[in-house]
Amino acid sequence: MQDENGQIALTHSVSAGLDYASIGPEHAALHDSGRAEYVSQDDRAALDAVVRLARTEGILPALESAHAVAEALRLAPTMAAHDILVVNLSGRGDKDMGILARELHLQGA
Amino acid sequence: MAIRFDHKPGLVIYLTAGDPSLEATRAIAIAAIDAGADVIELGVPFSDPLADGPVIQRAMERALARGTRLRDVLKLAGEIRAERPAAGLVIFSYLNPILRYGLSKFADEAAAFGVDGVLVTDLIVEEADEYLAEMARVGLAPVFLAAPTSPDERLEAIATHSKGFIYAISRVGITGTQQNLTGDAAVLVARIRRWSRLPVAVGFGISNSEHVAQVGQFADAAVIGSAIVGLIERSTPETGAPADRSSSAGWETAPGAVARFIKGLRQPEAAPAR
Repeated sequence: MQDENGQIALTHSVSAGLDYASIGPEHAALHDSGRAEYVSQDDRAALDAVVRLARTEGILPALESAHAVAEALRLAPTMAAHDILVVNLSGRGDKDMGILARELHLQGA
Repeated sequence: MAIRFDHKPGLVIYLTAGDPSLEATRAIAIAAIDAGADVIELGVPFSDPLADGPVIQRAMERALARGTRLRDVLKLAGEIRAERPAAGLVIFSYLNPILRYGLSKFADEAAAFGVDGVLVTDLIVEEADEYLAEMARVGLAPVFLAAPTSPDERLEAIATHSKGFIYAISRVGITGTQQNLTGDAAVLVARIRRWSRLPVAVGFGISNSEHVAQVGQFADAAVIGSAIVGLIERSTPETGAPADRSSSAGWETAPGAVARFIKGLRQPEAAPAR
């Protein structure tokens, strides 16, 4: 993410691992070759996905992975019942407890 | 209009272009050349200057806040060239602003404005094929950074592809002043000379005449960056400390302060017999 002069843009994400203006060369190559499609989800959707997955499955995803869960929640209703949708939970949310407590206004955290 | 070190030791003076203003950088560069700088490095301000310490970071933030762009720095180089035809002029930039500008367009314009060489801080020689082809096409000297941690294979590649001079980093870490020079620089310069007969300039942490004299014993030139940029910061009314501000009549004093500082860097005993 940069301006027209090549200066790097400031970023924000509730997820520390995504709060960065650049991507790695493998993702860039996958994007350019069209082998992968990249989409985005915002802070609110990711936080909602954490809560939904924790309450329904007892799984606490990392905030980074929760963006994928949010996209899955958007995508699933558009698919047929026999379609298969795989979500890669790349990390666990224990590390995000401080952020989650603050963002979700949890008491006694 | 070439990179030459007529003085011994040579002096490469780094300026962050656009701090405190482009007009000020022009005046300071002219004053530095007249005071004995062999080469002026014009730093292109960048949002993420990962090799630079706090002094140059602050200067870049100020320059960016004033809207300084790569094309402004190239134009500034042209103005300096018009006034001082014999001085060495190097554009010192991070890669991204150049990529965004267009490598070929940058090379064409830098050459047209009378720039002698280009140093791209975060471009390693192993990834530089396209850049080297453009530099060769327009006759600009590519200058690479060599570090104490660079293995022999990389030093050999740097020596093979550099023109003008080779910039030896005196120590690991970021730019900024330091009390004493370590022995790393002398070892590195000796290693570089196994593969290259180009002049070698030593930079990072060189801030006084003692350092310059030391560097002169084993290298061709010293690069002064943060010490100059910090002096400009202190000599500028908007950024100087209150004590400095009271004795300062405006940014016009920065060229004078820089000229005095540069003359002081070459004390008589600092000229080694070599």
